[in-house]
Amino acid sequence: MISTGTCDYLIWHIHLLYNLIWRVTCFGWKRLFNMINDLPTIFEVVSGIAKNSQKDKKSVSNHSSTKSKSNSKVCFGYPTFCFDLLRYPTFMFCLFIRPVRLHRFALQTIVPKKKGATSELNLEMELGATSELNLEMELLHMPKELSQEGVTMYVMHDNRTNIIAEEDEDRISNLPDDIIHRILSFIDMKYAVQTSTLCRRWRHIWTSMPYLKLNSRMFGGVAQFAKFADHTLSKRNDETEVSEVDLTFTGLTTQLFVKDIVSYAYLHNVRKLTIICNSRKCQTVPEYLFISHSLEHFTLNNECRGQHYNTFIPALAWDFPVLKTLYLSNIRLSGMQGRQLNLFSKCVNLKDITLHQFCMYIDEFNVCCPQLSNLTITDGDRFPKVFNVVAPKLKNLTASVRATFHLPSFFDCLQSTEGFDSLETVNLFLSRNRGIPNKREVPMLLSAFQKLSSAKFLILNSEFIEALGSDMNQLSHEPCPFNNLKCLKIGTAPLSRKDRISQLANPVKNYLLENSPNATFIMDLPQKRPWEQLYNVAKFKVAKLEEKIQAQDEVITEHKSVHEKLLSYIIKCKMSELRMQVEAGNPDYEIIRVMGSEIKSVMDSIPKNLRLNVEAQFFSQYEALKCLLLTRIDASRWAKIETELGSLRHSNVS
Amino acid sequence: MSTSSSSSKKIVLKSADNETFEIDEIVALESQAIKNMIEDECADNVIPLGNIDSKTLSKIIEYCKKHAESPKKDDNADIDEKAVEDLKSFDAEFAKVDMPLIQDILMAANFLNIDNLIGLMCRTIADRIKGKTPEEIRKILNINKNDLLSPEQEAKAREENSWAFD
Repeated sequence: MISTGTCDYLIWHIHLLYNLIWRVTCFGWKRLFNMINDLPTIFEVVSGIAKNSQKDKKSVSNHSSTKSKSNSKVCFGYPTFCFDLLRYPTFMFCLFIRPVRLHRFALQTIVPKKKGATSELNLEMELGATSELNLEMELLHMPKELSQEGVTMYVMHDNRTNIIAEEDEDRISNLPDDIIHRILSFIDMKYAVQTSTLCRRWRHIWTSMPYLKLNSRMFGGVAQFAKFADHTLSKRNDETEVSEVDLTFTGLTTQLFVKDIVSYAYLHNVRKLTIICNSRKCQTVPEYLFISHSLEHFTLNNECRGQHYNTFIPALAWDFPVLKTLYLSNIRLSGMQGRQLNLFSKCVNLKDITLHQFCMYIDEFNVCCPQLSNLTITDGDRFPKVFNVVAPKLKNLTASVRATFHLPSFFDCLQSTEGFDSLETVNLFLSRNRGIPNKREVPMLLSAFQKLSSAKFLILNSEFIEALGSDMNQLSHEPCPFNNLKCLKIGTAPLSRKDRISQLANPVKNYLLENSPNATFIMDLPQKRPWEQLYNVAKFKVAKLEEKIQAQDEVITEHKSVHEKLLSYIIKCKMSELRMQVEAGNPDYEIIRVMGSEIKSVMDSIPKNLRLNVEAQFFSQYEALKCLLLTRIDASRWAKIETELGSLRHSNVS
Repeated sequence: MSTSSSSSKKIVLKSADNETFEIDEIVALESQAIKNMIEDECADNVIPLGNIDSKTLSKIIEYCKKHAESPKKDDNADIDEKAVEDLKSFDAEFAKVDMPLIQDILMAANFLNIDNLIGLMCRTIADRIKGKTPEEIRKILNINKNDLLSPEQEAKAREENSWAFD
């Protein structure tokens, strides 16, 4: 029975036992689907919505209408339930109900009914403080002919049960715990615990978190952090398993809290463990860390700056029977003189191994893993005399190799007693601190290639091109070690050596692909420097602009000539007018003055760049006119005319 | 991508507001729930998704399309780094939506069981509440006012876990 208001935070989360759910044959499901759609869903019955929505149709359940008076807001966070109730007469499902003020509720039939016959199943339950209960239900009134068939029904959340959350609904709190846990998994445990003050829903949610993200940097000191870790583990719900632990701290791995946390994690079947310490001091990682029967992914890293290799790994065989992924960084392995070290002999399920920045003061290091698929060896500082890999399923090998002579490199020590026949991808990175490629490197590289000859995809950095290209003569005498390449890829080269590399690339490529004519070749030549690109863009833009300007210039000169013609025509007209005035013998000085100002205004309106031309034209005409007229009229009259026009002349000259 | 006739099969989804979406089967397979229905041959008709509105559903289909198209990071030797980068930036862009929509997508992704999308949405929410005060988180998540602890209860919760509030 649900009393009003108690459903506010009720969430349905129905997990039917997975095995029962999905893998079933399917007969007549459509028929059943239709039948069941005429019935209220569990949700409706429980929440009392059935009463409201069914009343106008046909009252399916009298019991529910009397028992459930709730019309309260219920969010159905997990609306689909798929079940196979007919195949299994007794079917089980788990109801995960949040610890709310729910005490009793009624569960009613979900049995498809035959015509007329109402098969109902009423179930009342007392719910105590438990938030989770397993409910076993027997379907009593099973239609016989249906019970013979295996039927899967998918009852999708249809419109009748569709209670759309209000706009301002807090949807996240309505999600099941595992989703909230997943959100919190990205947040440090300190803040995950602090969410207990958010609201009721989040009050205890952290206690069942399967992810523990613990970082001492979130606290003032390691002591405070140790106290926090202690509290967290003791307040945590001891019955829920731990799936992931991410532990980061300053100081040594021998500190007590490390042991507490790791032991707790191992006891709770942790699957993924990441330990990142930060210490310059010498330490030997405690042995208890390397025994777990649940651990699948293990990371150990000392992230202190500089490569001190002060973190010693004990020389014993690790007891991780289900370990799949291993990442070790900044560690040191040492053993007795002449001894073999076989750390992974019991880790029979290892698939990925990454060793990054390490020092091995041992004679022989063995990696014998029947399932190993990926091996990555990078930035090793000191290698053993023999690095023996026995991995019949090894597919991908990634390694960085130093081009030096005074220390043995990875290529020198790498060997496999059973060969690398399964290899597919080989990704090699050759590094060089100083100096230039040396002819002596070529035999070393070729012997390494010989070991890895079964590779199908070869990825090399450009340094290899230079190193191999330094002695083409030697290459021409050696047969190419690779027989079966499908793809050769050369990584990006530094710009400063671009020319040299592109020059060498072709002969080296031809050598490596000698026996694999159908292989594809990919090479990323360095991009041009940014300024070079910018310069090119700018150059292009300038060229475009110049083109435009030229086009405009043409138009302008065209306009200019038209303009000039027009103006000279106007001036010519004025001059002939003036001439007519003078030739008439009795010039009207008033008209001449107006004419003068007119000519002046025309002259002034001419743009400066045109004026010179027009002015020259004008003055030559003026002088010609003057000579002509002086023969007709006396100088005193001309002088008078000139004074009337005078202002024009002066202003023009200026 | 294969072009066999089986992969070009269409699946029809219907949102709560009765809008239908026809998608390729390969896109639909991103959802574990739909995948199971297809395997059980129960996806021939329109699949009604009564609790997902069309806005959310179209967003989810956009995500599934992109992820179905991009090459899977399996044992294939020639892992295309560009494709991985491309997918990453797509995810980052995809998550740039407001909180109510993120919550809708998360609920729907949980319902349809699309693990990658659940992870992306959870990470997005975590990023938004990281380093925030409880008051800010309540606002961001829009926590129901009726569900709040009383001041005494909140003080008690704080007291109980005082070691985490330094």
